[in-house]
Amino acid sequence: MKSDQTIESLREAVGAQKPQRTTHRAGLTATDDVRSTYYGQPVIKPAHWRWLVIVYLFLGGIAGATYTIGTVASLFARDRGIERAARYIAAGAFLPCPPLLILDLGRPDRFLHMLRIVKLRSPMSLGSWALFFAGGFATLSAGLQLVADVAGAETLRGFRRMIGIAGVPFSIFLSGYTGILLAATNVPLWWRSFPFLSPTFVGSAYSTSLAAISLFLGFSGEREDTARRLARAESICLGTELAAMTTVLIRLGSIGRPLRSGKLGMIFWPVTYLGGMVIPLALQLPAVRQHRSVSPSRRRAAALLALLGGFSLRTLMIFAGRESARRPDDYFAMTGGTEARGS
Amino acid sequence: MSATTPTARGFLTDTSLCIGCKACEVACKQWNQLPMDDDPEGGPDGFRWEGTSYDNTHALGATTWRHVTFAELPGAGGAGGQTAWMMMSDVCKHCAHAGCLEACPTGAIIRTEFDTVVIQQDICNGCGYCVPSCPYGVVELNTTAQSGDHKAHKCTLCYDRLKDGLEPACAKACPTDSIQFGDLEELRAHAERRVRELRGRGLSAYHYGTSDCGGSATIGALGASFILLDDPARYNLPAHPILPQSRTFRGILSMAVTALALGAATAWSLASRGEP
Repeated sequence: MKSDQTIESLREAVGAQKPQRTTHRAGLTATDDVRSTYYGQPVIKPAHWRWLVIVYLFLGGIAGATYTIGTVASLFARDRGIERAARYIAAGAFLPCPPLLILDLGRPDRFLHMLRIVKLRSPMSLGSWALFFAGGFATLSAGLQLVADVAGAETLRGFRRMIGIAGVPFSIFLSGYTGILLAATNVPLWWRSFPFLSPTFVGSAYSTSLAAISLFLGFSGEREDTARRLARAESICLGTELAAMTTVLIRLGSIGRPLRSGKLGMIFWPVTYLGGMVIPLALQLPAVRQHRSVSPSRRRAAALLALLGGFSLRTLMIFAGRESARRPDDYFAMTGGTEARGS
Repeated sequence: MSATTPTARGFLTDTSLCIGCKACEVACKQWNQLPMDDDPEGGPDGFRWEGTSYDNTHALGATTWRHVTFAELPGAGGAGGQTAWMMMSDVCKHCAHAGCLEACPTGAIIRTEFDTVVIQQDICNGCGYCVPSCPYGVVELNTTAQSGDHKAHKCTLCYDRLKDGLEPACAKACPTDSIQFGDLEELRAHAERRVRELRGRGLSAYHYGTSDCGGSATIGALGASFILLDDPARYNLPAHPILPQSRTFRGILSMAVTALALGAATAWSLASRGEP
């Protein structure tokens, strides 16, 4: 059958008997319906990932983005406390990541097999290596930061800066590759969100990282200039995350139902979309635009909401993906008939 | 049609000949010593009744590598409104460009000298990334309660039998020769002839497994192809599946652009001077 041919036209062409219309029965739709399914059975299989992977997605994004922010701060910021906070948070967020992933494996004793090869088209292969190197850099930079905290802020400053720059390609990859990991599967909700799922995850990684740094530095009045600058950066990242997430929802259309409606939808709108993106932005943006400081209580609320929202985003994306894989109608919409999408 | 190696082997499953006896399912389980399906939603023996006609296996999986589908079409069976039976023995498609192979980060999934796709069980660490990457829902982690080894499993095209010059167990057991095994190019040529013959008899037959239909531009042709008589969805198959890794590089680009832009924005925010 040619790619633009339907079964109906083929039947006509060969003079085959056309099936009579039947009444709808459970699982079997009317015989004239092109989008019939096989008794409503799923076509593809979902990934088995649950909480171990969800927590990894959250912490890995923070580890990667805080490291990048740390290097940016070492090069551009006057307040050395930002880099210090970023280095410690990056290492702290990284440390649970390998155990989480290793425990998720079917055969955890074989975790080193991830480092047998590099497969450039496999996001998981690239991600394993990125985690390996980014983690190494994060640990090293945190150790150097500790040395500087003890022996003086100028200790090994040039070397520390160099290491920070060298680690950035890996930390950038770590902060956002999981969006590609999900989109490079056949799960309709993940596949159709391309190319905006990865920018959403990157935006979330940055906004949660800046929130974590703000919480680490505290909300006392000493660092008002720093607080203002962090709030401004966080607003830009939140805005990007919000725009990307909205674009994902629009692109998904009815395929996005597992995420935006039903049980997951009841958490998505208040916690992820409003709580994690809109409200933190609304709390900080007006003051940022007027070059004023945001009040400490507002900044604390915004930071906590952003972190909770970022965690819920990963959680809901994973669970919505599991549900999406169970829907044959969505998969056939993606791959069937003359409406074939994708390359 | 993509060029194949001289020893390329594959399946052609002609559903116009299938009688739904399930000898293929039994032979596969027997040769590969696969356990019975341990369905957690089923009863003590793992059975799950779902009103799916004579199909009690429901899908391919870690312990089912041949799965016979039964779709009943009332009124489509000829004069008098008899029921037509769409029976098809589903199997791993052994794609020219396989989603599972592209996804596998350990290199466990390889292409053999027979142009088939095989999972090396001594390397697989059960990461499970191949599972959502298969466009046909074939491969699965074996998480059965008693005997599950938590690694990925699928049809090997009886790699062990091929190495000894035997044909796969399912092809040998099939009583009507609905499952044909042999040289890939010969099978494809035979498929074209058979489709013409069936159409001449008034059946809406077509070859599912070319890069036009069943395979795709990104997946290529299928090593295990089918002659189908109805819409692919009727057999739980996608008409135009996609190789999901075809987007990896563009994905990296969109991610890198966003990350660099946000990094630059952060740098600007932390560095800009001259503000009150």
